Amino acid sequence: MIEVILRRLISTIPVLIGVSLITFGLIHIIPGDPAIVIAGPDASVDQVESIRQLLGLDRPLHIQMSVWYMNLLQGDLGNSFMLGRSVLQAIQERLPTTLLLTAYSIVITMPLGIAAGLLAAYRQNTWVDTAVMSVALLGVSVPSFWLSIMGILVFSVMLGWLPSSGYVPPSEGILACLQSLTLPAFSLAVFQIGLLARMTRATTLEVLRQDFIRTARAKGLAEWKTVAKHALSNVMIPIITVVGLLVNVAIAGAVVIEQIFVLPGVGQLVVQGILRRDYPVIQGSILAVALILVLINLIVDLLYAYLDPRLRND
Amino acid sequence: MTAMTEAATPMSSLLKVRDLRTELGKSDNPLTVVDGISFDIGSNERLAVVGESGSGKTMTALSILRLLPDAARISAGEVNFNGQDLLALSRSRMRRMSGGDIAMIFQEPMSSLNPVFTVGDQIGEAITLHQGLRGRAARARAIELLALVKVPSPERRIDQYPHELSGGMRQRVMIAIALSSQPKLLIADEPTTALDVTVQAQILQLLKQLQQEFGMAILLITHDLGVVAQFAQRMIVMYAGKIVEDAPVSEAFRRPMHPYTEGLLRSIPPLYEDVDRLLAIDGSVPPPTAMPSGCRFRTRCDYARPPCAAQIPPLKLFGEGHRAACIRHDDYEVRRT
Repeated sequence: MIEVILRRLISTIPVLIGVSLITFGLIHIIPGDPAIVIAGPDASVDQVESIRQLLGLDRPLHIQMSVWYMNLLQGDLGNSFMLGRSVLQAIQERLPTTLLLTAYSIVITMPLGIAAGLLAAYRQNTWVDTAVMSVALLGVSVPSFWLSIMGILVFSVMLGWLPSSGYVPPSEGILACLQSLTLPAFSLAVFQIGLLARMTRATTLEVLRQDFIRTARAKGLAEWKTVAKHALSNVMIPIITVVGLLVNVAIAGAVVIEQIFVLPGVGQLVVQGILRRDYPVIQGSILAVALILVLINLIVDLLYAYLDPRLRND
Repeated sequence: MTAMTEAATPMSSLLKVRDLRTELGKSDNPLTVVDGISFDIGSNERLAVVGESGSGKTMTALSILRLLPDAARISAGEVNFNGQDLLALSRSRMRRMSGGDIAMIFQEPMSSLNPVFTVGDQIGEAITLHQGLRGRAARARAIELLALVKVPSPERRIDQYPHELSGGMRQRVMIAIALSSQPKLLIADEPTTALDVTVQAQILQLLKQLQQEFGMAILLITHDLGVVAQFAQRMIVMYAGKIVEDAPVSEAFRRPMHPYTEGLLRSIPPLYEDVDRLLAIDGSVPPPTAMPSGCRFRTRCDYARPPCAAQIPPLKLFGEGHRAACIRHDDYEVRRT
């Protein structure tokens, strides 16, 4: 088990190197120069050049890249051009918000999406099925930014139940923190619930047709137990993969949602970094996100083996 | 020779099926897959139901336990088990019955067990359900049952998952689950079809031995007359949703009274003779959508004459416990001799 985890962790290194190389390439392809941004519109060519030298941007790209990797090996992601602090520090400040938002949305998604899918499959071709699947289709079709704005309109402006923007860290009260993340998390979750419900329905229909479901019924097992124990245990195997994908989708979606709700997360950090050509921030935060996605996939694979005994031997 | 609509009744009937009709599809345009069949099983009897795919034998078995797939339903008839009409029982009482007094094992031991639970868990579940034993007591009973169905080293096997067992072992586990409640009737739907021949013989031997030991009745569904000869005391031949012959096995093999039974018997390859070509019955079972008028077998029957198309032949008694549904039997017997 530990050997498997170690092997998987080592195999993530090339992935991370690849991600950072692509990021590095992309940020140097897009036009724009951080030195010009820092120096401001009235600066002279000499001033811009001296800033370039100061930031090391005058050096050839492969040298810049090597320096960045050497620093990375020592746990140093460099300093932000604009934020006046190290990239590592910025990420440490921002990452918890994003992770909390993502986790919150997944915690909402899993029970609702799976329950809806199970219900629709169990009541296949009835009005229940049609109703659940229509709502699910609506969920995957409505863009999350529009949903966020409608959410703000209804729950903040009209009803005044939830804050329209801003973030309260958990250190200042768990309840207030959850309250500040509720609208953003639901805005993210609606799409995921819709998708998960549809996937769960398809998987459940497949599982309910299996012979072992008939065996469970022939045993005289109550119907709810047949579904809750024998069907669900097999439905969860493919569904856990879908949930893993949804976490990836949620982190990507968080970039937009953090902008709308003014949440200080990694998504906002990346967007600001790109707008200001803050190269070290872009490099560092994308690497951090990539690392998290890789870890989530590892967890999904381990869960897979936990849920399916047929995969445990290797 | 008396026409007879009642089933040939063995001395003490455990299960009486009367005019059972099972339909598939929409209720305004149903396909009848089991068409008004009646038969009995004695309390200590080994009965085989024989027929090709599509003859309705599995649907009959699933109807008895009310385990039909969603698209199918029982539209008429009575299934009387030990004095109770199973079709009239509430769902919860039926659940106590199935897996309790009536147990069932299936064709595919590979897929009939849940892949994510251990063998012990799945046997234990049945024990808890019908015997109320839990924890260590249930486990001990499960090990006992595994030993009973001759699974070697049951203490080790009980913690294994289905994929770690061979097909024969899995079918033994299914039998152990079925036996956990000491059923009075065991319905076995092609229990050996998916197994290789040596394992098949072992499983049949085991079922026979357990049947005698526990004094239960077994309803065996099969398409294999070799299995019938080896296992059953009486056989019912089904064709296109109807019973065409019902007779003691030795009698049916020696003197089949329906051309379909004869055809099935002829299609068994002889063991000690060289034959160039096997005698198969031409064609296949007509689909419920295109059922011929009158006798359903007439389109494939060598003895068919115009009167066969006029009406569905009733089951007639031809001797002690021997019924067949053919109006051409006189001619048929003459030709055979």
